[in-house]
Amino acid sequence: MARREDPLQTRLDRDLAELKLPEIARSYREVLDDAARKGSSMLEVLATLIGLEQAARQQRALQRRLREARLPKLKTLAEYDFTFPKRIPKAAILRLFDCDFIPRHGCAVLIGRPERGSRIFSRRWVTRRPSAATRFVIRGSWT
Amino acid sequence: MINHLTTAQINGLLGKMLKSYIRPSLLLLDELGYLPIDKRGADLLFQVVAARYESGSIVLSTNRPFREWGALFDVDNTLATALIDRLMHHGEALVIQGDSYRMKDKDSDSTSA
Repeated sequence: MARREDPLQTRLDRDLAELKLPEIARSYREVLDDAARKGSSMLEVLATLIGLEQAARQQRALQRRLREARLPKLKTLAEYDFTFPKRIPKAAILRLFDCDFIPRHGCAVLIGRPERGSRIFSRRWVTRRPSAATRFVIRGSWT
Repeated sequence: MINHLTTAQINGLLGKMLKSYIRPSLLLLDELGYLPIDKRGADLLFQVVAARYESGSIVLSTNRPFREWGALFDVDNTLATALIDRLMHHGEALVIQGDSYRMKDKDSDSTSA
């Protein structure tokens, strides 16, 4: 038997589409069901839905910047073999990848002969805690 | 970035282009020193670094140690010193030594072949 459409839900779906809030449209049924089970407040439900939309937007923005940067290949820090270079300040690099220097407007210069790690690290940066750098630009000779 | 800024300067759009490199919270500059930088390029790079000083982070990767930066910027040691000064005042230099990481992949590829 076909499920009957709730007019309120139809209107909500239409309004969410017009307001360009696809993540809320996709998740609100599940969030409401979960809230009913847990007895969550309306404020909690609202915060969860807005938070989901915000996270999805940040992710889309990150993906767009990655496309625009035209990186040859995305890699993660976990893939990097710290035992390979003869000398590498591993603790300092890991600390840097926590991105705590960004709110302090700090800088870092990675120095190494071609492909000894400096370039490889910069490609990994963008996949690390993107929320720490809500706006960033990537430029190099390969862009 | 330098090419973009140079083109913008020629077209009278430098201010707008500079903003796009100054506003982000993190600017990642890869492979400084891989291609030669002329006087105009060096001046433009300095404008970006100076404008971001104490207002935005920069992560820069390079194959050239600081002592070679003067030669890199069209033999302008004064500009190179000023650039390093701004980068290092609230920054750190991380030196990586060893064989090419690319060769590591090549070795493992040839072993598995």
